[in-house]
Amino acid sequence: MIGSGVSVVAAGLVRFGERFESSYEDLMVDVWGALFDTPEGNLTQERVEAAWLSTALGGLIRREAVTGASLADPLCFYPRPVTRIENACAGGSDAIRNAAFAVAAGIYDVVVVLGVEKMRDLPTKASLIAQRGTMSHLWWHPRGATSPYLFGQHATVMLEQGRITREDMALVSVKNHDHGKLNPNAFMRKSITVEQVLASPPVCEPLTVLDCCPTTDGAAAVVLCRSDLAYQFTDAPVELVGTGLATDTMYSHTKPHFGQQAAAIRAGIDAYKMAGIGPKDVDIAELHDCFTVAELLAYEDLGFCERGGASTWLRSGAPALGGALPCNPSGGLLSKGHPIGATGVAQLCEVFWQLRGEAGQRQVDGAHIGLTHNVGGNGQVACVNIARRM
Amino acid sequence: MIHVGIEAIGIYVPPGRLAIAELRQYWPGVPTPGGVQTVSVAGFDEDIVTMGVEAAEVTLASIDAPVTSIDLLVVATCSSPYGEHSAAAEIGRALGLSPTVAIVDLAGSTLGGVTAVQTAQNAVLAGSATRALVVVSERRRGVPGSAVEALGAAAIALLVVQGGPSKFGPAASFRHGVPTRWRSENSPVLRNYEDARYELTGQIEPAVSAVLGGLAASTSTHLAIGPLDVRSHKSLSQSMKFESDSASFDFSHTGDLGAAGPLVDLAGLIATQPGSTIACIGVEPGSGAVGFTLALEGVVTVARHQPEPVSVSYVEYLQRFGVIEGTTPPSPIVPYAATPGAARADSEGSLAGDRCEACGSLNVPPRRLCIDCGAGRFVRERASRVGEVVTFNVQHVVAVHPEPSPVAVGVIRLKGEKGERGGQISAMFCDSNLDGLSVGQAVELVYRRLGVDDGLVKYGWKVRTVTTTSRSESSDGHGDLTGKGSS
Repeated sequence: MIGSGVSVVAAGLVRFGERFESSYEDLMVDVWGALFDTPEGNLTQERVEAAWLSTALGGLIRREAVTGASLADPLCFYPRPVTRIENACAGGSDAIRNAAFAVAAGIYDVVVVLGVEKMRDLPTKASLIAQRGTMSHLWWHPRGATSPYLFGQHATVMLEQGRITREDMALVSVKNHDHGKLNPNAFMRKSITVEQVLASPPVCEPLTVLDCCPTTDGAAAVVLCRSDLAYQFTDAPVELVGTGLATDTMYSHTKPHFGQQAAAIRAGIDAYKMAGIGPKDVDIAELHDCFTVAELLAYEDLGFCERGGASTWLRSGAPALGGALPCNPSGGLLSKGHPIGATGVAQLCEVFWQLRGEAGQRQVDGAHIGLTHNVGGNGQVACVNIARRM
Repeated sequence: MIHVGIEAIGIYVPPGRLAIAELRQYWPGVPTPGGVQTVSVAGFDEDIVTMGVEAAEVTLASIDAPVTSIDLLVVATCSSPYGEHSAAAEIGRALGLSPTVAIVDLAGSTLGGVTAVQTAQNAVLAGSATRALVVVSERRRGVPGSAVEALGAAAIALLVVQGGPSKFGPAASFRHGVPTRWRSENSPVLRNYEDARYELTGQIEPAVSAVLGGLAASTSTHLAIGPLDVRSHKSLSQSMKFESDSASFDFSHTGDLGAAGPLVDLAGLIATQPGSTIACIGVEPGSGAVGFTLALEGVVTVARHQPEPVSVSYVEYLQRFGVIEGTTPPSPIVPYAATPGAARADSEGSLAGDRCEACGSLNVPPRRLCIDCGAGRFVRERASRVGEVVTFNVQHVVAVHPEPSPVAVGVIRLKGEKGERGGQISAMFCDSNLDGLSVGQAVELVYRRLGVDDGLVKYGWKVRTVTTTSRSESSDGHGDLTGKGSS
């Protein structure tokens, strides 16, 4: 439980993909509208007292001076307060965490967390350059590094150690594409095979194109409120019961270990502790599968299986729909897409719908507890949030 | 014959003026265009697209023609900002024309202005357009120090409709095929064969005369031709026996307007000679001439946007064309520039590290607080130039330049270093067999160019693979730097 209790009472998400027809502002207006389109109670725009905006590439892609007015302006939200959060790919979950703290502190009753990213206003290659800048001080970042490299480093070591196989990595992509095919808001809605993953063009060996999430436009939003007010707005609120955020050093060369992510491990421990649960209590998880190897890391870092057990656990079918702990029923970043600032928020949207039984064809029966795992940079930062059906 | 004519015209001349007298100071003895005192110069933020839009807006506004009534756009220019890309698409977008309106681009010849009007006329005649917009716009420049250096900038727009206050008569063409003025592929400047008398009497006069013959020009009372220069315009009119022997428009202040010239001349005659029949002829020395006649039956609106002239120095003229380029403002996203941050990172050049006095970890790059124990007292050391691969990846999709991808990037543990987080560097591989890389492999550090930004070279350290037998070790544990024996 977070303070005296914080609940999610609405979630909205616009279709992820190459949204060439929509601007950054369009995506925000559309997702904002989605929050209030189907009011179950008396949730109105006027009830929202403050907003948290998660967006990572505003400075690099949009060349804007970074402020919360990026949200206030298109939504006519002014003069209400907007706090803008950048924490690389974990910004969405961190924004939720901070918004929850403000509600738990009794400052606001109802707030919105909105994550948005407009990545395909640039060629995908330029987008990679932009992300490179978010990773470290440029003077010390090795020439030739990219986002895939930050996770490819782990893959090289884990393969070398024999902990995972190349096929294990491919199977993660196959599973998540199977899931995403069932999600109308996903970007890549088609099933793929292990052979296709292995045969797709190399990006950062051993990662191929189908080991990598697509460069994506999208937006997601949730409404948080005091838990004691939640039933005013919906008959099926979802309570945020745990959150953890942790950091690590900036650079690849100051990591003591590859094959695990210290920040994610710590964030998970803290979130479990706050929620008063353990990994075995989790019914569904949205994991940060920006690259296939990242999901394998997450299984172990979050304690879903023992250290070194990711391959076996994956092949047992546990993380697939119908398995013991379905991971990324939404399709994850690999299939649904990864609009950076929106991703953590979209993960909580999926948990919200799953816990309310609203996830359609990808619904996990009887899900009570859901977890989101959101990793930034090369594991420099990670945020884990846990929600429970009220 | 169905009555097709010009309904309205608009002209835009940018305010900048370069004085020919100033050119004479810098290029004494070079012939200058006869009778031309200044040439009009487009602004830093103007080109044929923006000037064309100005002229079109003036034209549409002059008769309150809704933009939705335009169903064809024909654009002619010799000076498009693009070698390949439709200027008409750009102009149509700015005017807000429907995306379904047909566009035509005529480029690469000063004959294009008259041809553009004929194209519109034919489309209306054929019934495929009802109100066609013609935009002819120029911003040309010749070789510095030549007789054709100073050329003018302006744009003209014309609406061509069925019916209307004027009526097209016959059209005619005459072709040569040996250039005396030309702009080569990839060249920004017009050149000429410096024989003005041959150009006038050997090429221009025969071509114009032939076209006039084809137009049955005895019915025409005036000649619109647009000057190559003012003096030759006069001489041509006299030799062709027209009533008015001077241009209707004050070309002495704009100079040669290229494809727009004859149409600007036409507009001047329309405004000053109501009821006349005008022969409008475009001529390009060495290419030929093309013309039409236009009978004025009613009032053709001629609107102008000609801001008060502002003088432009020769230096600014050259700046506006990008011949002289000043420094560009520093980018906020510059990794390699000569910034204070670059100076503070001085140790990167020598690959210095700080050895923690408390725990012994080597901090590379130096930090205020030890990466392993957080203590703050160090001894500066030269880091080892050899190490081994901790992890690596071969990068296929990567923004490096000029080296081709794939490239490899990895984490290297420097030889002898024990720190948990310290004692390692990140680096790109060079001169290595990327197919043969492996964890634990020995590498040596090499000083290389890492990139260039704003002309500043960023140097730094890369790694290359070595075999264990290929280099000697010095007694202090640092590898020698003879560079021998890389694999």
